[in-house]
Amino acid sequence: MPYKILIVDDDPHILMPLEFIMLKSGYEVLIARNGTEALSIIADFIPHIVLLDIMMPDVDGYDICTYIKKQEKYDQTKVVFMSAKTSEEDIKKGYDLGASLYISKPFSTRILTKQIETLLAEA
Amino acid sequence: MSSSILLVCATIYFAILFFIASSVNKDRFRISRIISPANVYVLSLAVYCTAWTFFGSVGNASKTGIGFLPVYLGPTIFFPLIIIVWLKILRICKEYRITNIADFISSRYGHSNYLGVLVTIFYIIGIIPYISLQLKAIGLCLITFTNYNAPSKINVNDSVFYFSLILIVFTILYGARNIDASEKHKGLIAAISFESIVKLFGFILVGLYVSFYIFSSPFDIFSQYQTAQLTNVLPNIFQNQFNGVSWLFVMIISALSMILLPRQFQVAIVENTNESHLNKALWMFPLYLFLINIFVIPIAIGGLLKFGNHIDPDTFVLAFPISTGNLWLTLIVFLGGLSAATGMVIVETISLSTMLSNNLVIPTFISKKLISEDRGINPQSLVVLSRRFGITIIIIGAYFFEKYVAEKVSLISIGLISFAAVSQLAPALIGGLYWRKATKKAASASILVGFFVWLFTLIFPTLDGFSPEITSIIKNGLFGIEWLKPTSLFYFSDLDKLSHGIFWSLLLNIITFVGVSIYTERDTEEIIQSEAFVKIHSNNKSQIATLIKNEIIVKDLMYIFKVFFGEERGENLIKNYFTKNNIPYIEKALTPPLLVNYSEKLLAGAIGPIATKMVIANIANQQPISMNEVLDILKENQQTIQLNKELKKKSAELGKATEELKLANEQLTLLDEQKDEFLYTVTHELRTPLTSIRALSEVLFDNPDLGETEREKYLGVIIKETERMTHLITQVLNLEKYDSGKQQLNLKTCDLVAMITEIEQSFSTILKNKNIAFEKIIPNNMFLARIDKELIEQLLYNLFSNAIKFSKSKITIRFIENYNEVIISVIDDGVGIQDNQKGLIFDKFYQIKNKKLQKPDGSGLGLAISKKIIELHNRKIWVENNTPNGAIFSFSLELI
Repeated sequence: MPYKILIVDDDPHILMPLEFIMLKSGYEVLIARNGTEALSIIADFIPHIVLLDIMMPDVDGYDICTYIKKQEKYDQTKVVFMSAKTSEEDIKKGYDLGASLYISKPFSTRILTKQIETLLAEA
Repeated sequence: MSSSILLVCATIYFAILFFIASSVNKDRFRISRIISPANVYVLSLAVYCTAWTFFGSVGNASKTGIGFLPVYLGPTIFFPLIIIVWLKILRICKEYRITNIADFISSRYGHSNYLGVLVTIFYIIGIIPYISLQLKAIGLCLITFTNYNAPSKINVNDSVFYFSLILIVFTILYGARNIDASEKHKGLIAAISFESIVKLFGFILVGLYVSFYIFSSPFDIFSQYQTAQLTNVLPNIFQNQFNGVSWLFVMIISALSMILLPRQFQVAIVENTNESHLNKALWMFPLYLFLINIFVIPIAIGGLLKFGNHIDPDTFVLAFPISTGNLWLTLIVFLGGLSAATGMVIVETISLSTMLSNNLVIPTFISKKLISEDRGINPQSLVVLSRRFGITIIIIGAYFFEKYVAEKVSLISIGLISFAAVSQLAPALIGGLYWRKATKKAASASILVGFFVWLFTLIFPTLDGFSPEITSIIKNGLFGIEWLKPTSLFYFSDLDKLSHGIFWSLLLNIITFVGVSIYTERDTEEIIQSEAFVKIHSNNKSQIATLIKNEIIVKDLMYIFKVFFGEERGENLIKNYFTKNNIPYIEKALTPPLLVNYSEKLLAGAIGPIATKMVIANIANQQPISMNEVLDILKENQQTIQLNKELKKKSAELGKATEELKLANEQLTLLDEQKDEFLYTVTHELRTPLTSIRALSEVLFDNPDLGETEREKYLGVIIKETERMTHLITQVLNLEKYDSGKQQLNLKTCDLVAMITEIEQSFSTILKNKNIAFEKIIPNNMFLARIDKELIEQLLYNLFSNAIKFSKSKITIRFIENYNEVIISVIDDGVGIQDNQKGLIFDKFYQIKNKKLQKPDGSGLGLAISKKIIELHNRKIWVENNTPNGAIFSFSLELI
């Protein structure tokens, strides 16, 4: 059974290449264009990895992460923040909330895919 | 009836007055039960209204119409100023126990004995004619009375002489019984106030009698008078040209006289028991003046109608009741006039006699060492005797003046010439009150100059006919020099005699005062006194008064006190001081400096400041402070004040600077924060497109086998994202340019309507795609404005893009012409703007901070840039909500 990945970002031009790459890596991919959509998807779809943007107009990435980390059913779910917020405080906050990884935009998709493989292997 | 009945009446009246005075004096009768002390004070001020008012106003009005008024208008109009000056004088007199103007002026100018003598002599010369005027008025009463009843000529002068004697006795009884002149004469003041009531009552009564009994009403008097004029029976007294300048001069000297007349000084200053009484006087005294003048015109005209030229108009007031045989009214009016005359004589004489005694008699006795136990002159009785002597010679002098000189002159002219005389002291007194640098030499020079010019221009012309030399001087000028003519000095002949005299005497007086003050210096004592006087209102009264180092043995001081205040009282005064201040009384010790001060004040109240100084000097081992020492102390004082002021100013400045720095710092911090945030936001905004560009490029690079459609799609996005970045960078640069003020406007005349059409065209495809309707509400075909076309296009583009982003179905462009400007609005029907966001919406990157909005495509700088553009055009941009929904972005532009 392939690993499940949820990609959340409000910018469709970012979703587009990420979806392509993840699909190509053989994962089962779902995408959400904002926080609300993401929350509704994870209600009955428990992903192994959530690629999560932080700044979104409705519910921000931090809140989604907190929500996921609070519930037992997402024990196996790892959160990867990908954000244009690059200050140390923002990054620290991300890890404090229980994220497995925090990558700053812009990033290399090649490195990202390797890091995801590592994360999945750890599990 | 003979005039003896009047003499009897007058004597009874005097007895009543004296009864009142002595009852009040002995506290047998508490006057405050009937009338408040403030009212008594105001009534006593009415001693201003003399027989000159009581009889003379009518006499004057019968010749000059309303010409009698300025004497009362002056004090009324200037009364607030008079009160301000009084208050200052009052405080000084209370502090230093000064009892008359001569002492006041001599004290101000360093206890100058010479100045005190000068002022005293000046007053005696200036005031004796004025007192004689009162005697003349009494004489006129007697003549009128006797002539009407028995044409036989009795010797009126004898009666006036007897009156004078009665006045001397009463004045002495009232005013010169006590050694301490600074003690209040409350009995005297009660009597004077009573007299003020009687004269007002008498005058109003005769006014009513004439207006409503002899004639049927005041209107009746006026209509009869008009008829009389038509038939040329009577001249029109109102025809006299109203002369504003001469009115002004009379008003000025009248107001000055309120301050400078010895009797006004006595009642207003010396007899004042409470400063607050001045407040009441402020409106009540003018009211009194108004009431006593209200019937002047009716009586004057009525008198002309009834008596014509057969009777001296000065006696009209009395002639009316006499002519109708109304004895009671005659007596009341007589007593009214008598009150007016005697009130003035008594108070004026008391004041003058104190001056005379303090400045001439006592200092002479002391300096000639005539006061001592062995010579048998008791100083206490000397003080009292010298005052009594003064009273006697002043009234007798006035009697002789009346008998030999005043006969030919009317009441009014003597009064005004006296006013002009006392006004000569105004620069020395008032100037000295407010100008520290006024010197003793200036004061005496100005008084002398004023006196001689007064004598030459006002007294000399009245002596015409006494001798051929005088007549020649009046005609041809002094020494035959034409510009020294007494009535047209320096060829100045535009004014009437009186105004001319007042003008020159006061002008030369003031010039002398100011000029000499500038060119002379104050000596040590003058500096001490002038500082103390001028600064009486300030709280930190300098202790300069104690600076003369008087080394007095207590025993010697005690001796002096016993001599001047009597054994018992003198001893008590000093011993009380020691007990009160808990100082052990040691006879051979040195007197504490403060006790010296206190003693000086007590003595000054009794024998005047000059004599006090002499007496103290006799017993003291004086080590007069040197000029330099005084100057040092003064300087120190001044420097401390100056330093204090500067320190205060500095600290205020520092405080202000700190405030400003704080504010600037806050602003800088804010700016810094804004800059940081801006940078952060810009980089953030660049990261997002870069992310997608990089990701897509990697996809394209790593997947060479990608299908054509997908390749194109990805490359398209890359191009778009690059454009987005370019646009952002351009906008950031623009904003920086506008912000920094580097942007130069390239102003050209453009048609705004045409620009709207262009914009519409460039957006037409998007509008069609989004199915948005476009409406224009533009009243004219053309709106010309001088603008930077490129910038305004950018602005319109921004607003349009915003509108398209948010609107659901319709966009409206509206032009409203408003005077010389046009208000252009872009209206959408989207979600609108929340009220609390309206101010923020023009901030940079506002949209990003506001998470509730959907992330729009723009850079977030559009409105900030738009705002800058419109500000560069010196206009404004603002946003309102549309009803039912949507936003209205509006800006204005100046039309040509």
